[in-house]
Amino acid sequence: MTALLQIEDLHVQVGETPILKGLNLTINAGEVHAVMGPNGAGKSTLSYVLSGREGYEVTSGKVLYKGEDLLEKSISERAASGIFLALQYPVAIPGVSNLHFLRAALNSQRKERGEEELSGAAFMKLARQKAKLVELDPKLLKRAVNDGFSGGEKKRNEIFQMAVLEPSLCLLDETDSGLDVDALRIVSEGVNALRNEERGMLVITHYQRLLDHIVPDVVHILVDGKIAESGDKDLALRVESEGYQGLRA
Amino acid sequence: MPSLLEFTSGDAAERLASLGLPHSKIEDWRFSPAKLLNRDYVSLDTPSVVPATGFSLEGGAQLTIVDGFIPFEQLPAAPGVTFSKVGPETVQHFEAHRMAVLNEGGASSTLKVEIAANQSVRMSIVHRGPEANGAAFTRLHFVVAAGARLELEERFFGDSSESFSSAVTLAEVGDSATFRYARMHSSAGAISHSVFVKVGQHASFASESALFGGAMSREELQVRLEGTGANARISALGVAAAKTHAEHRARIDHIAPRCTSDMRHRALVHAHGTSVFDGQTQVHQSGPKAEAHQISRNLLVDERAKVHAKPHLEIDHDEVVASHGATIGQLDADALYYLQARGIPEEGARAMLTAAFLGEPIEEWASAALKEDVSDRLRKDLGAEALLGDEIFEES
Repeated sequence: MTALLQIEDLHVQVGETPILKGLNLTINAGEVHAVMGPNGAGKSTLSYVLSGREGYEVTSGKVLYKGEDLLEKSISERAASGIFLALQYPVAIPGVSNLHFLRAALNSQRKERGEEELSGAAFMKLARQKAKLVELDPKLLKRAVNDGFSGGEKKRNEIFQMAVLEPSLCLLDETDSGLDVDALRIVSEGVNALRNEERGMLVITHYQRLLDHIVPDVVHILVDGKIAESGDKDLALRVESEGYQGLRA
Repeated sequence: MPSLLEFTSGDAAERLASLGLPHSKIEDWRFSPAKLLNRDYVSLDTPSVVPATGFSLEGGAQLTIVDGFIPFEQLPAAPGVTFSKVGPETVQHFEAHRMAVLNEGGASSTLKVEIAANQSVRMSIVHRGPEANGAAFTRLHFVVAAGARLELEERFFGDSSESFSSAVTLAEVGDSATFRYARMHSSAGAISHSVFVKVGQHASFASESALFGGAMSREELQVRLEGTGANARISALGVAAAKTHAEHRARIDHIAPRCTSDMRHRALVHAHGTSVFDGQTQVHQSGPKAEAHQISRNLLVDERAKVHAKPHLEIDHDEVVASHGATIGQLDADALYYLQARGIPEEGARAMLTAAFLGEPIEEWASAALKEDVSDRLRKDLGAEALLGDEIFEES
């Protein structure tokens, strides 16, 4: 089986500070991996470096995505190739409507992949259908991207975008932070609806409670820039009760 | 070729001779390319093209003014509106205003438009600037009587970067009257447009303007809130492309009690472009219970772009609610990343965020036609028409 994502001995620094120090991780199509770890371990850095954000310098190691060198691609090329990062803090963009933004994003991706662009009518149908999936208020579709949205609405909007863009690899960076129990359930149901045999997911979280809703195939504990331990979902329960202390180098 | 001083005649010529033409040592002209006023220009005896006939107040027909020549013979008779040709009058309170005096001496006549009480009129005017190094002078005077409403749209075009245009608009907005004044400036040459407005009791003046910079595009508003409860709202947009100058100046005087004013300015400035905003609001001793706000937001595309933003308030009374501010910055890096992370290439993401920055105030404009023209122009200028589509300016 070809790995969807293969990270080998990845070293990343921000400015002069090393953050990831030899990270290895393989995600196969259809698998959901969870990454837990203490503050400052490098969880968000991992998601940013995979999405191509500036300011994260890869000093050594390699990342293969669908067998190709991911690090060679620009941010938008990565998105078009199927990588989607649901941000911990989604950005508000006054003046750009949610629908217009998402249609431009979807059609930019389709164009990059050599596919036909979606008409306005076809896009609207798709958007309405996916908004239902995450119980996103249709009024928010016409509003400016995340502008004046509550914390829960922003996270729902991220999963809504994910549902419309149908990526191959979903990176969820602390999607549970700031959500109440009902919002957590809705967002998790949205994510679960997108699970399938072709799609891989990397769920970054501080808390085991998210993993009650999105049950992972593999759990990794990231400590000081490296995977300290991997296991099944019981590892998350163990960390929840014992903390990260015993896993620190 | 004569200097601009020689274009003037009569009493104004004498006053201008003693005042002198503007130069960069004068505070109000510190950041303007005043040297363009000290060049020699060609005097025009007739318009370079004969303007199309058929101006009317119905069906959106436009009055076309070519090279500053007003086609008085085309002016229609319409109920509630009087058009007349009058000699240039000195602008009261601005007797030593250099550009007003230059225009007073240079314009051979004034088009005076009077809207009768309680009438509602829409009017559209197109100005075609001179060719080559010609100079044009236009002077318009609007009188909006009590309870009347005037919606005026004006567009200034000109292809010659060597030309000079001087425009002065005078307006008196009567008690409980409304004057909505929308403008688009798109002249390659030097253009100075000065607008002098007096606003009566419970009357409203709303200005919506877009300035696409040329060699010197300079717009100045002088608004006097003279009647109790008068209101002025100014929304101005400037775009300074490479080697162009877009300048918005506005002064609002709260002379009567309970007046409100709001001045909003946004500018997009490219490499080697210059944008100037100078906003001044004065609440006089005679204007208690005023509310006055000013904001200028400037987006620099490149570090070689120049912005001079100076919002200022002068408050001579304690019972006032007022605010003022200015921001100067580049596109938000987080927003740029976010759009790219969703698949929009960097160039498109930049265009989208720039369009959003400029589109936000346009959304609030009341003049649908101007909104459309300015949006079309911006889409073309930003070079990402397919990506931006129509909705970005229509949905928020």
